[in-house]
Amino acid sequence: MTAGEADSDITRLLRESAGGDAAARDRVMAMLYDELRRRARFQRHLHGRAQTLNTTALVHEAFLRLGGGAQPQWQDRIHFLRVAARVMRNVLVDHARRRTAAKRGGGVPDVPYEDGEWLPELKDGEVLAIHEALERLEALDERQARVVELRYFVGLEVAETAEVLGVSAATVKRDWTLARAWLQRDIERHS
Amino acid sequence: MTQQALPEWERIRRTFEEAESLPSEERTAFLDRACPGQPGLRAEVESLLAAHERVTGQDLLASPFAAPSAAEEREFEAARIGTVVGSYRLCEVVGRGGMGLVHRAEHVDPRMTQRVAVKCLRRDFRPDDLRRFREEQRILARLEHPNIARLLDAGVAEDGMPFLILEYVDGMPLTEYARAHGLTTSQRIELFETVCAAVQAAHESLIVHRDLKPSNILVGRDGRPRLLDFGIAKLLEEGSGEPAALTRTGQHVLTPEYASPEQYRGETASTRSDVYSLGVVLYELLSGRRPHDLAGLTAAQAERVVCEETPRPPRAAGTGRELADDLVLITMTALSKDGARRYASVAQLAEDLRRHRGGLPILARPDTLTYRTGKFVARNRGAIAAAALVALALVAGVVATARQAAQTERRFEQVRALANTLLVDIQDEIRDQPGMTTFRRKLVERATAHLDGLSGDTRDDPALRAELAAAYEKLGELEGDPQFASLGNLAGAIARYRHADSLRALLLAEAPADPARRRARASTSARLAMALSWNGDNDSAMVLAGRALAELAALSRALPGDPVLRAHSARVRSELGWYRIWAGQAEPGMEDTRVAAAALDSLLARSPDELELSLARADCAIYRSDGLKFAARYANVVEELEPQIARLERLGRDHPLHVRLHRKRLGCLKQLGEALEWLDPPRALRTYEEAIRVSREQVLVDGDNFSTRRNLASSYSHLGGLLLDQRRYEPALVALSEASEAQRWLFEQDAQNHSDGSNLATSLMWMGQASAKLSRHERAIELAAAAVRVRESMLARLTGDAANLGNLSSARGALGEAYRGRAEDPRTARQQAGADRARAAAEYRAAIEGWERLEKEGRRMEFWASSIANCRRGLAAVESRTR
Repeated sequence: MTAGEADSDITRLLRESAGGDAAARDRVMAMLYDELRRRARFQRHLHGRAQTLNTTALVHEAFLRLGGGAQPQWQDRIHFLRVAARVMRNVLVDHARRRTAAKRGGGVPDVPYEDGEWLPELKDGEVLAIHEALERLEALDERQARVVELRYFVGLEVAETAEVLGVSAATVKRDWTLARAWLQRDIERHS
Repeated sequence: MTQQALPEWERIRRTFEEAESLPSEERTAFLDRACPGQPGLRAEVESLLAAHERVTGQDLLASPFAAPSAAEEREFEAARIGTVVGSYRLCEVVGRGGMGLVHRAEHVDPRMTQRVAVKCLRRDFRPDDLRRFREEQRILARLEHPNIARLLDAGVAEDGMPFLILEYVDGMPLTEYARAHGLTTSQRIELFETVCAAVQAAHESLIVHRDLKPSNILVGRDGRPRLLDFGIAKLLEEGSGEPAALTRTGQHVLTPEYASPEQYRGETASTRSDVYSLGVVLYELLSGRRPHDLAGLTAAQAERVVCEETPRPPRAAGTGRELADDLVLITMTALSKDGARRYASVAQLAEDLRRHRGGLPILARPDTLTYRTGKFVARNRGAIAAAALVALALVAGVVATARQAAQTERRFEQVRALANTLLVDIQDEIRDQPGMTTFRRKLVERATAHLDGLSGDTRDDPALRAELAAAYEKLGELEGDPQFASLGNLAGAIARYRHADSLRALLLAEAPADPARRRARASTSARLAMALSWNGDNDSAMVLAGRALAELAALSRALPGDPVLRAHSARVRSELGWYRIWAGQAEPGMEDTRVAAAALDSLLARSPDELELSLARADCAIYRSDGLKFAARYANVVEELEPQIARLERLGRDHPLHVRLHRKRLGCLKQLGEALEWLDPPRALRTYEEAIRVSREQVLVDGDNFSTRRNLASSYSHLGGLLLDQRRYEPALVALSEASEAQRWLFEQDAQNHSDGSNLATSLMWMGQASAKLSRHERAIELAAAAVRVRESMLARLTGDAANLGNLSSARGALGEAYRGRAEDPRTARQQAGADRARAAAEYRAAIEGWERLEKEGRRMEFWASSIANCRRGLAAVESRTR
């Protein structure tokens, strides 16, 4: 696949995934994952270490690169951020699971360690606990789960989260307050 | 829906949210009320509230991806130093903006000693930032000015980040430079004028900077100021896609201390926003402090202060001494909350500073009598000026008691002399002074009422009747002669001139050979002819002007060498030619103007740049241009006008406040622009912009004057029409809304004036068309409907007017188009689209019916042919969809 094909691909895939096409979304997520990893390693190369990761910038850079020279459309960016939140969540959870498995002596991790090198230092337990609690919240209140995903896994601000979800900032703030309380209680109950 | 009927989670959510919003001590009472007999709900909410208390202040869900700290950001920046971008190695960071980062950089080849600045995006840029970055590149590529930091190169670095290579300015911010070098006020102003020139150059390239502040104005070691950072600048002609989004973004990145009220309010920033920011810079430069202290204020508080509070007038830096009044006024004018009250352009601001330094009267002076009189006396230390002042003082007192005064012959003569002084001497002296219109009206009204009263007793006094004729003539001039600063009442002017003309006719009949009376009659007739022609009656105008010309020719034969008489003849001849041109007698009309032009040129050769001769010659060129335009000889129009414009510009420098001179220049510029529309549209655009500048200046100094307002409106309307033709809808809308604003004002002042209403309706219709092109359907419909309303309101008075009827049809057709535009937009709901099609069809039909009626009466004009065809096409399209 040439770069040009990739460019037109991402736009088409984004639209299809926004329209509910699961296969298209998987493709976007795969592309995004690769791109995020590349970009993050570059950041790390400049930084020297990966204490924090500016995901917002990362995601936007990835978006611009995947979008190629084309002027990114606003709608595409919103879809992209939604997908990106999912990707980041998967990446972090997978990574935390692998490391936890390795620590528990569950054998050699099936990906080279350096692959997680670009991720910030996280408390693996916390990431997994949040992820699992979030799955339960999702069943109860889908939008609150999206709010948490965008704010926690991509690091979006309230206003940006509101924009991506197409709701008011006040709604995001209210959702965030209740979701945090709910997740706190849920994590306590399950630990 | 009651709480009971809601799904369980919804009830929990709502109850939690409401309880959480209350102070904790009120929550128990609230839950008692909210959950009667629902212990399950209550327990759930209470447990969540408890969890909420526990989690508050903890870092659960504190994103690991929060924006990096400032220290980390610096570290990142530090890591870039030494890397190579293009052919340049990055050195230290020299500037940080909302979206960009600027490094000093050196060429990788050590033999290349030029130092440059490399601008790149910040690491956490947004897609909007990237767009603005590219916009900046495009903008800088258009700008070539010694006081604007140049763009040397641009490209994309290895990591995909775009960068700009800019001229590196080794200097300090404007205000700091002034302080460090201990510049005097005068030096500061001079430096600031250079900055104005750079901003003006940007504006002339249709670029608004939008972020002017001292740190973006660096003064190099060579003392030359340079404008930097066009990062949030905007191309005026661009942005049809997303102007609102751009404004939103602009709002995020505004610099609180320097942003204009309209930028705070999120409105579109214009060149006048830059005028405001320059005003802040000037304030700071002169006084060492900023107009508003915004330290520690929230955004909302800052907005309130900037939008509502009038800053204290600036005082001189350091010393705390008073600044010159004019400087204070210039600064405060630039800082007006209301954009329309600011300088219309940066050039005007600079001009006023220049005038201040040169001791000339400034444009920003409010229309106060004392100031005008003060400057007037200062420049004309003659007897007339003193007489004017004395007369002014006496108007209230002596003239008010005129009736008693008239009882004795001696007093009668005194009062009469005073009235004449007021009327003739002073009126003539201030005729071309700006800002005098209201004053002149009072003056002339009082003096005329007074002479009227006197004339009752002395019908047989020819000298008094001559004075009365002169008085009526002055009154006509003031009331509505479009040639002079007037109050806009053309019908009134014609009545006054008629009165004067009949008095002159009587006087002449008493002494047919008296050269003074012959000359006076010719002059009055010529004036009446001009007013009639403006009112559309060219036939009467030709008769009157022809007779006046014959009289003047006979007098010339008696006094062959008299240059005043020759000039007068030439002027009347050129006017006669103009009436003929408009009456369809092109050939004799052009011949008249040619002869007149030759006569005036030969007079001007003897007394070069004599003011009245120059004005008459310019008029003649304007008249000739009409004839040439009707014959589509546009290149000849340009040839005709260019030397006149050059002369008037030259004269304008010596007579900065001469109203008639600047209006004449404006008339030439508009004629020139119309011709250039056919030859060189970009130059036509620049010409109209110049016309707007001149007319804004005139409105600024003489806002009471209807003629100046009308000129401003028509300059904008010309520009708007041209932009519309060029399909530059966004800027067309800006120009046309300026035009319609002024036209609405004029129409409101005098609803009798047909042409103001007609011009307003046309502007509204054009704005509707531009909005429709931009898919702003609601606005388009609103505007076209407003145009229809204005035309309809005029219908009541102008039932028989073919032009208005036909133009009403045009407006209806435009309204039909606007409805059709919305119906055809795929975003419009189907039901709405159906209703819109029906409305469109009704408007189209009404329009076509109107034209058909005119046609039946034999009054159809070719002019509307294309509009009729458009309406028919639109109607067919709408009907085919309805079926």
